[in-house]
Amino acid sequence: MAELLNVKPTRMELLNLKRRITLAKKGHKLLKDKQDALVMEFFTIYDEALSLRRELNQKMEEAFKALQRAQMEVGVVRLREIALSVQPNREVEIRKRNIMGVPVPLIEAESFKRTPGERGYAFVSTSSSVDVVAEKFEEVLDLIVRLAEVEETLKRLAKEIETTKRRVNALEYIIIPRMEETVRFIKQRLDEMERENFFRLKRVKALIEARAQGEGA
Amino acid sequence: MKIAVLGDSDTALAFKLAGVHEVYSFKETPLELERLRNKLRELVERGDIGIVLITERLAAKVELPDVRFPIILQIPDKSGSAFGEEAIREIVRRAIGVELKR
Repeated sequence: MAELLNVKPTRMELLNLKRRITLAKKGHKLLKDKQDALVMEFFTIYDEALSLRRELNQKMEEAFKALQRAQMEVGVVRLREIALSVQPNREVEIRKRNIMGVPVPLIEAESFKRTPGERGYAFVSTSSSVDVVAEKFEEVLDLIVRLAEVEETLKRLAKEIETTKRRVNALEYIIIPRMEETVRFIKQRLDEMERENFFRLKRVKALIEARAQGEGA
Repeated sequence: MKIAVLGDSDTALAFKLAGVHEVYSFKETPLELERLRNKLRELVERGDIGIVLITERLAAKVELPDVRFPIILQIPDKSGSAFGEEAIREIVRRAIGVELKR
């Protein structure tokens, strides 16, 4: 049994409440549609995120193997020196996009892959295994940028779904039942008042008639 | 916008080779973790960093700020991924209320 709203049982309030119930139901339907659409969007992105994650894990494993090989071949210290002379890679552009009113990031980036010449370290003093490492991790970066977008989108959608769900449930299980219960209460109360009034009139009429008879006699 | 990497020395070295703009390496001592927290805060507040990559191992040791920008992404380190997919599943569990097997 839902608790009642704190209103006076008047006809005005009854009309008001009925109007509010229609509005709440309309809002509830809208929110529910939004939730369904969000969930559908969510699943498309979920699949993408999961497969990207798997790919990334696999790629990084390979890349770290390549790194190990290079470390053994060139030496850890030497590799660090080489890393110091690497030119910074391209930057990314982050924009905003809207999915069902949820702002999600849209990352624009060119591929991070470069030719060995663009990397900036000297060829003579390095071995090809260094090139392999750099290449592998550039590929990893490409993946990471895509994953960053997808996973962030997923997170934001999830948050939005959660709040929408909460709102839908609040309307469905608390606000609307409470208002309906109050409408029922007001109706009963008004009926009761009408019956009382009717009875009072009858009683008064009977009294008047009795008095008239008494005077006539 | 730039990409920043926070990780152990090997991860840092690898991403440095790939030409990531800002690379910081941290060990797992209390002092270094404090440095990591400060660096993380700085990167979030700076505004010219678009993506922050942090290894799962380090991410587990500090609390990641809950911000919309920059994007913070956890990446596996040389010992592999412990919970990359698990993290995604957790998001789904919270949002939908049921776990999905795919």
